Amino acid sequence: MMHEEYEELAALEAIGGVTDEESRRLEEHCKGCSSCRHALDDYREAAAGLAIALPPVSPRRDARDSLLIQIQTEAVADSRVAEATEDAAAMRRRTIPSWWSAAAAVLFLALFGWSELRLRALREELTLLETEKNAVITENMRLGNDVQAARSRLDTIRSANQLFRLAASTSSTAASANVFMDATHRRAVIVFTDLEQNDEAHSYQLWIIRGDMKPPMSAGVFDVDADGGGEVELHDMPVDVPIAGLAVTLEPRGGLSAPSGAVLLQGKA
Amino acid sequence: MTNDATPRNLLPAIAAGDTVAVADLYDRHGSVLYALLLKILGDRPDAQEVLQESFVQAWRRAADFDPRRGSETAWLVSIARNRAIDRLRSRNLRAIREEEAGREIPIDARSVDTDGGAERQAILGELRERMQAALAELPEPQRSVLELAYFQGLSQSEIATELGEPLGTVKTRTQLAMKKLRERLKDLGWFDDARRV
Repeated sequence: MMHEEYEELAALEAIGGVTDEESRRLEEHCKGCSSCRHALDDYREAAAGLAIALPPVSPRRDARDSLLIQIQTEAVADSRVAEATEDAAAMRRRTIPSWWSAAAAVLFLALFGWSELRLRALREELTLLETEKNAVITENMRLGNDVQAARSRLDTIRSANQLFRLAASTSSTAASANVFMDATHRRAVIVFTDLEQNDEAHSYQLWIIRGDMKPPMSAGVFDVDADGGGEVELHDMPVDVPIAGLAVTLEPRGGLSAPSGAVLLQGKA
Repeated sequence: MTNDATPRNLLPAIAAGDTVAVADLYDRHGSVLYALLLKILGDRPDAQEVLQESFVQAWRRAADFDPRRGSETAWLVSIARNRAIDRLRSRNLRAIREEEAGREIPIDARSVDTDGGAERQAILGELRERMQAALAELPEPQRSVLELAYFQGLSQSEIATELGEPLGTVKTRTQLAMKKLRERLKDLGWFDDARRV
């Protein structure tokens, strides 16, 4: 753009006739061109003359007071903000030397690291305690169930009105069992002794010998411990089945619907 | 009320934190700025509000004023005009003004400014007369484009549309008007006196 063109632009700029970009370029040019800067200043002064040419009008009297109140208020607010900012900066400078900041940072990191480790250890400890608590609860429940079962068996034994013994079918074993049967409540407790411990593939199976000459019916399966002892509790024994006696066989694990093995124990009710 | 002992430029004192000088500034220039704002906005409450905003802006930006680049009056007029044009555009008051075209804002004789120092008022009165004379010497089409641009804030393109003239013609006319005005005001010694008030 030629020098004359900037002067023409200055004439338009003074009355708001240029774009922001043109205005910026003109100002840039005027920094190094006193002639154009002088022209621009004159044009702006002349443009202001358009306002001066108007008949002056006094604003409302209270407008002056309103302006002064606003300015005083903002001045006080500004000074307070400045003072507060300066005070805060001075406080930081005075009370927190840089090495303090560094030391505080290190201490913080150390405490943070220690607390993290401590927290992790506490979490692990908590997990362990939770596991132990669950084991205790489980054991408690198991013992509770055992107590319940023992009480139930004790009730059956106390109320039993038929007592009889199951004896070994052969003289080669000393195994036997005592039967406590509560015929009234159709329940029984059978306590086994000296049976040979069964292996994983087999279960002992208890059979009800029916009085109506029909095939025996299963009363359940059981295992014995290393000493050959074991207990079976029967509930809800069939009402319509005449019970002639009980017998025990060794069957494949889980038992069968009909006895397949030799009778190991038997006895009459 | 200002007096002859008041410094020529109040803005440096304001920039230094003298809030009392704002009152003197207002007394000195309030009536000129208010007349301009009334001319642009055509609404007294709006003009009053923008007047206050303009003085607050002047107070905040007083340090930007460079007396080597122009008069205190021109600097304040520029702030007030820019704010008024922004207000005019944002409120889309142009349509209202078009409806009211030709209707002059009634000026209450009692409201004519008498503050600001007797000597200063006298100088201002002379400046006004010389400016009006210089404007009267301009051909009407040239005076018209100046007023459309300055008082209504129209861009050169908008003036071209308004007048139904080519944009180039409007630009040339505006530049010629400003150039003539500058030369005539220089002949009248207007610039030196304008920087005294």
